[in-house]
Amino acid sequence: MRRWVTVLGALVAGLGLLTAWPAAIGAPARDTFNFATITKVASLDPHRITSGWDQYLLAYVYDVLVGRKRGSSEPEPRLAVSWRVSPNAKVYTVRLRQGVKFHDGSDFTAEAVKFSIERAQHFKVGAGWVLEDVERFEIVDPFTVRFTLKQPNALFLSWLDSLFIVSPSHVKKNERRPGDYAADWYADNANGTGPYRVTQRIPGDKVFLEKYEGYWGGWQAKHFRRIVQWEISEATTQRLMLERGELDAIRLFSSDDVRAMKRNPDLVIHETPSTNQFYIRLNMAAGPTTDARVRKALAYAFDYRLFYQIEDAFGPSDGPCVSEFMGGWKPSGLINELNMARARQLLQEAGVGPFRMTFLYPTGVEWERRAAEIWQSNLRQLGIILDIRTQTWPTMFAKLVAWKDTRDPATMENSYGQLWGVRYADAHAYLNFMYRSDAIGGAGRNMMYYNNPEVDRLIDQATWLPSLKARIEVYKKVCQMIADEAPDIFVGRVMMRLPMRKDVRGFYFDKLDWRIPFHHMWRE
Amino acid sequence: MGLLILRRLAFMLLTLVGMSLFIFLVTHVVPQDPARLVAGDYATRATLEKVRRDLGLDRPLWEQYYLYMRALVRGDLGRSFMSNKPVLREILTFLPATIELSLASVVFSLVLGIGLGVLSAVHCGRVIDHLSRVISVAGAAMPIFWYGLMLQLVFYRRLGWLPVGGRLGPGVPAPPSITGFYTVDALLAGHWTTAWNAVVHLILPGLSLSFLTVAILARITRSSMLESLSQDYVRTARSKGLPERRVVMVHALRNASLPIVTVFGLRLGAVFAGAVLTEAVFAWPGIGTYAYKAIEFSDFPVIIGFAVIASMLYAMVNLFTDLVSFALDPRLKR
Repeated sequence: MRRWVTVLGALVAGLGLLTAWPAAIGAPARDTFNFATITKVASLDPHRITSGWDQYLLAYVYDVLVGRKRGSSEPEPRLAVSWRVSPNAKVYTVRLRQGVKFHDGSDFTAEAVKFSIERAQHFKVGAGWVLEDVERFEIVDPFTVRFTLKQPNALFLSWLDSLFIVSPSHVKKNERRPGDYAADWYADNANGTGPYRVTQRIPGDKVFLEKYEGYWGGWQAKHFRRIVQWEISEATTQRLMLERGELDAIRLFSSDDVRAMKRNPDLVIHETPSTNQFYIRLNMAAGPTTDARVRKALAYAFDYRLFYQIEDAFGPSDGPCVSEFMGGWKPSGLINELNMARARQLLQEAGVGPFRMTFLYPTGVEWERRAAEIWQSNLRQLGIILDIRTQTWPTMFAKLVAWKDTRDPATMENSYGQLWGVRYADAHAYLNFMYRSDAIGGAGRNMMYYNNPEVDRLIDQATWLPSLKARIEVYKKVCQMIADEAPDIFVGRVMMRLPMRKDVRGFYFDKLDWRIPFHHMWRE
Repeated sequence: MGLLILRRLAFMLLTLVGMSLFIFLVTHVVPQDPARLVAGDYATRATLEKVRRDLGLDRPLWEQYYLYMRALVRGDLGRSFMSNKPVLREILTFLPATIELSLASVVFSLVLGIGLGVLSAVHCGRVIDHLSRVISVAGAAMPIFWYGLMLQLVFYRRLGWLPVGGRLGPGVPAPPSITGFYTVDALLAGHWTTAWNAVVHLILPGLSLSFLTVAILARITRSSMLESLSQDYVRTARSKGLPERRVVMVHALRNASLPIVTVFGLRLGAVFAGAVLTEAVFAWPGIGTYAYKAIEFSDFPVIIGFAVIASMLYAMVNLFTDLVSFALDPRLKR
């Protein structure tokens, strides 16, 4: 009798399991777009975030005054409807959109802009850099504001694309202590004017967004109602979940994954060249790489084609900055193919015999290691021994910055790998942060100590030129000077790729950044 | 017994101070500049200086440590550089997920490890014994993440039986937080489907995390049981006519359990460490991934806070193991 009771119990439990099982791994709702990101979200605070990935998510929760047109660096009205720039590019008068409401129902006015500026300036970090040049801010009327800059800056409108606007009343309501700008609340929650509102954040796991019906930009009928961003740090897991339909798009994958996913009829791989470029930066202040002929020899010793074959997420580089910001122009004489004979000749001309040098890359960035190994094997044929070293990015960064003061031969690095993308759509975002002498140990990544006063002067000059055409002419001169000096090996340009379920429609790459335009997408 | 616990607690306190000092020195001596990461790529030198001042990174090392310890005494682990939120609050957010996963792994380890060990000892030299030894060797030989990926490929991709990502499936809302354990919170809230979903999500990561412990427990149980089964009291029990199951499970296993408990106690700490890899493979939002991210970001307060809490948990698990050992063999108290 007891045995029969046991068997019956087991049967009932088994049946229960079978009926409940599918719910555990069921497909997501059709009106929900699930995607996995590449990094963990550190914070949702619009004025504290430093990661571009976090910014791409918040771009659909918050709004900016001035954005840019799709695939172009031309400014586009967002919360601003129009603007007037003084001839000397120092005074910007901006007319604001009326009738816009924050997700909590509060009104968007000039006060919100003022308060957002104060909040960003208070934290200084994240978007704080946008306001470095602002000397004075005035509210002209409830829907007009005026920025007066410390110095002429023709790029200011494109910088405003990084300043999200918050609601003053909502921030004040959520302050723990008066004047703390509700930093705690905004780390996990959000209240903007964008097309989606944050309904929940589970730290380390997911962020849930839901369609904001009152979005000022309006809605067409069939767009996704909910967006769920998953934080998954393992590429294989992301791929498996995409293939089974639990996720609609993934950000983390290898070239091998892409090749395999291209064969899957349920998936599509969206791809286009990005504005991110990979450089091998060479020490301009000490060691054999201070000689331009040696630097060029090192560049000729890199097998670009082999690298693109192994890492098919890369294509040829445009030089110091991508051609989209230069009206399609590229500097002449760019070294972008392997030529060992030329490399030998240049080393001979420089009178440099066999030597040893180092290459440093951030731990975990495997494609940088592979690039270094390709380079290493060719350098060996030239009698150059390349020591490939790795450190975590913060350690590596601190070491390279500290060297500018110590000049200690014991801690010197001859080269390192640098991936650089831009936050605003102008060639200035490359040249100023990669090559200006101020960026040595300061803002940006001039960590191999490139220093050319003429380049500094021209970059400054470009900043003051309101005409994009005139700016591009100056940028051309700068890029050509840099290409001639070859402070970097311009290894390649990164392809933006996004594997996605085939039934998702409306996706496009903006070309200039990696955003997923949720509010234009739907499922067929 | 009370004195012993007090002595162990005092020793635990010393360990924590030593650990905090060690981690503090290691994190601060390595040249790193978290201010740059906090401020962002475009921050000017002036902004960087301000951030360094705000974070207290411009002060001498001894002063930074003194301030840290002063706050620690008040239960304040500082604020995360990454999120600007109190570290303790963040740890308490992430910790339940790791504990829940570790407990699932403990259940799998005990059931499978001891079960295999007992079966192996009872059927010594037969097929099941050989099989158990193969499993033990394989369990100890392969890394955790490999098991994780294999389980995903078989049970998620191939068979489609079990989920892999996160603590709950898509579209399943998290239960109201009471304990932080989704299984318990969902049951308390009466959300049966959510509870079931949470349990199913625990299976693959829990199994993956338990493999090494299963292997070690199976081997130690087998050898300990073989010794026990050859003792006179087992022969006496059998000659008294007791059923074999009772002889094995009560008489032999109880006497064989002391080394099992000791080894298991040591493994509990390792389970916590192994959770870092398992969490990464299964997108489990626990303290392991949180700490890993902090290391990547040089988030000193989080790294030290994590080390302090992890050492405390490890010390408490050891204390608990000792207490269980005393209960099993009161002679050890002497």
